[in-house]
Amino acid sequence: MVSIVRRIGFYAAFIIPALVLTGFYLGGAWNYLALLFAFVILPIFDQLIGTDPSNVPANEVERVAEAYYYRFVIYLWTYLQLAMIVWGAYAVSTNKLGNVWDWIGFIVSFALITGGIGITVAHELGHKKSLTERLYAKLLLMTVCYMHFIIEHNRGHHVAVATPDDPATARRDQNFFSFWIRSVFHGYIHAWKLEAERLRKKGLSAFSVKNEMLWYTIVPILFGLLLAFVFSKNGEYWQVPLFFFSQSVFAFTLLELVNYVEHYGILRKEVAPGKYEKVNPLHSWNSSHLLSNFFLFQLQRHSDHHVYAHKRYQVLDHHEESPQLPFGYSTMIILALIPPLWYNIMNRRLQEWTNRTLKEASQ
Amino acid sequence: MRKIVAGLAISICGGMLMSCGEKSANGSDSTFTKADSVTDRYLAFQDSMLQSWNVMINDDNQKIKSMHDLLHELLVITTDERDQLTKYEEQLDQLTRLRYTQKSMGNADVIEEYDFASTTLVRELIALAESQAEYPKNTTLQKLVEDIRLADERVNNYREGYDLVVIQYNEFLEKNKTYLKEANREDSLEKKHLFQMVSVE
Repeated sequence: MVSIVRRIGFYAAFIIPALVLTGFYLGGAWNYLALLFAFVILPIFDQLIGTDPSNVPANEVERVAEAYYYRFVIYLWTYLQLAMIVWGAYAVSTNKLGNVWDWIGFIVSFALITGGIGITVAHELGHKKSLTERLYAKLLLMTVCYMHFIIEHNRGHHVAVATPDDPATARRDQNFFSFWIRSVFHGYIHAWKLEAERLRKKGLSAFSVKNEMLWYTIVPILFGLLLAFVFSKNGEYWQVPLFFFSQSVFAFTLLELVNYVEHYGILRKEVAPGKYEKVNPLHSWNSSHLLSNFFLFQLQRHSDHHVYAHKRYQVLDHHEESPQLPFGYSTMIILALIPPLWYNIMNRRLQEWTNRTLKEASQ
Repeated sequence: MRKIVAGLAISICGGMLMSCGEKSANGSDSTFTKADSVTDRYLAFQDSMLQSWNVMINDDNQKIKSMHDLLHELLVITTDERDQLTKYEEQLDQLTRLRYTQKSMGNADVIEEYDFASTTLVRELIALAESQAEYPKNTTLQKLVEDIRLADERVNNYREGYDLVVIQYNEFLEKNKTYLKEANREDSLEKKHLFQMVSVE
């Protein structure tokens, strides 16, 4: 029974696009329906249902990891998101969004699809070695103008996580707004540096057509312009680009909120100048809240993900020794946007983690 | 009449119970022969040999898994060496098929071939991982390289341990052939092959 719930549960993410579509056709304030669901209803039920710390039994891991069913869910999502972005461009061109509030509701709700869940799926696929899965990851990231994430995340963040060198690791007492600037801009610059270094090793210039960063910057813009070209009507050329680029900003802001939550304040020990201890489950915040983990394909089991980045989402483990978040991501995101509340809840937990690691180190 | 039938039933049951007790008491004294004792020891040897073999093979499987994981990481972080990495993946898949069994290791070439393929692949994969610019900071790569190295170093210890059990087992077979034949164990009286990690005196 439990395994059936776990299998079906991963389809929960598809509720969000359904709510965005419903909200759009009902019109007006209904454009906020998906937001209401994600940040009010979901946090309540997530807390009521609670955590599920169970792991896939060791003798089952290989079979479950290889099961096509779980891959199918995220492949299906990829196609759905591509269809949704095309529909979104069409939808805004129909002039159905009457005023600025409708626009805000629609765009931010849409970002829940492309950023809240889409980037999560892209993240999962971007860690895989198959060319098809990596292509899917890039397509999803193209729809949010964040293609460089595939370079920066795998070759930057996963290498430097929980060190001062990582722009995607929030420092203690750093508020989300300052973190956003650092993570977005430094992350982009760092991705360029990593790519330039790769090309330099091959004896190529950074201005070569082989520079993936060049393509990752140009392709989303071309895609946005293509959508505008296809769907803009009656000389109103601003609607589609406004929709496409602003939903992208909200989408990667959601990603940065998640980054902020996942690593807030955690630092690995520096064992020698510039060298840090190996990444272990203590180096990321974990949350095993059942419901939000369904929506986010177990991204919240982040401690295990950083130790075993190649593991598929369905076999990620809960680690009891990891620092535990008090709520699922949907609640944590709201707290992150209110710094005093965030510090109040998280700094105490962070201090407990620091004391624990210091105590263990002294033993 | 009833009394007679009841009396008969009681005496039959009592007789049966007494005879059961006698049988078991006599059996324990007389049926545990030398052949039984040899069979017991034979089975214990089989168990230790199997356990020793399984520990060794599991460790080798773990090493192969770490090699797969290392290849996975390299495929994710590099874009230039994909062809080379794909070839390594194919070689790694072949490695499990090349591996010796308790039977095939009678032919020393089988072990030699496997060891050569495994060592070459381990060396090349580690060199490739260490050549990555981010290797000094990438603790995931470092951990996988360390796991592979340690597993590689453990191979000889496990083989030595296995050989020690097999030597004792072979000596035991030699000494107790007659008893084992009596116990109908003729089908498995063949001596097992050694890795020759321990000198046979």
